[in-house]
Amino acid sequence: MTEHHRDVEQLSALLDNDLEPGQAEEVRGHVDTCNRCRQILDQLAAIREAAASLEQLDPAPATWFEIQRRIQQRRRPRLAWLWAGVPAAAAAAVLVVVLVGGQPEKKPRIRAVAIEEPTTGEEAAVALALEYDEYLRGIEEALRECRAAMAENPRNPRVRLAYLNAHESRMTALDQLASGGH
Amino acid sequence: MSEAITLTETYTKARAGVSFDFERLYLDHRGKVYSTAYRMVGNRADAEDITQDVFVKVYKKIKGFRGDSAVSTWIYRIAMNTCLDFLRRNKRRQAVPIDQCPEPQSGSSKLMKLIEGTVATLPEGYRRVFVLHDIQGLKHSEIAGVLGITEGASKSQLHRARAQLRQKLGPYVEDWHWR
Repeated sequence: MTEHHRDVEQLSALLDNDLEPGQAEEVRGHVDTCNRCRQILDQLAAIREAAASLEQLDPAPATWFEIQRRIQQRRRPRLAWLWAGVPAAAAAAVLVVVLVGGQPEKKPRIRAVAIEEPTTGEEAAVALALEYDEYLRGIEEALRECRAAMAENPRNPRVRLAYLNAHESRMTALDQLASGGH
Repeated sequence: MSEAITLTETYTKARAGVSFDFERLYLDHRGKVYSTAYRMVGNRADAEDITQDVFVKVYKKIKGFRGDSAVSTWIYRIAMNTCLDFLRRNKRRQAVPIDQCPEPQSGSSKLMKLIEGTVATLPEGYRRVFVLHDIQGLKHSEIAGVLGITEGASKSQLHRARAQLRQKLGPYVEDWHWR
């Protein structure tokens, strides 16, 4: 019974038990008597097994630092609030990303802190000032931890990168403050 | 505690102003995202870039996550959409002939290496389902949630993907009984 070979896709469906019971029985019966279809079924099984055996891969460590850097850039405090007089009611809760330096063996991590939604212009200004204070305190903390980590292991590239990123963030925040947020 | 509940709590905490551990989320899911991206685009440099994009999007969108699906399904959806956007922007990279594929970094058997090098040449629709089902181990119901297709369509595309892989690998494999 080899004149009507089964579709490869149908054989793949048989492999996964995706055929209706009656159809599965018919195709299985054919495979039992057809060397070519049985060979294809074996090949599909081998592909499925090999694919499932492929290792899960991890990205390079630098990927996490680049993600942190990009998030941090996105979440710098918006000093323009103070001068532009953005209606306080429209100001949504703001996530401030603070880069916190880790111990030498730890990676720096992102911590998100939500600021209460301000209700008046003055409250918005106060909230923004607090936001900046918190932001700069986090950076100072990161710098202190990075310095300590570098003292213990000066050649650790991850700590050096975190240290440089923290400095860059601090300078940018101070520039924003000095320029009135523009 | 289920994964969905965990992220729902994370989401609730984020809204309530409590710190949430984004690094934990990254560590738990980086392998899934990077492996998926690597098998979709076929090279490590682009997979690294896509992984970055995915987690920046996850961070940006976490407050909008409704918690009505598992966190991994949600992240897989962002990852797959990012991969597909990348492939559409870089159409020339979609087809990587098997003889030009870089030496695979993992996998010990001949067939595993061949599959690793050939998956990126499958048509996009087949590739995404094959990667998610046969490599990443998702169920068809999960793939339906990730890709926004029916389970039947997921099964159909998977079987077509395997048929094409078998056809493509045939000339490179003399003996199919190496296992």
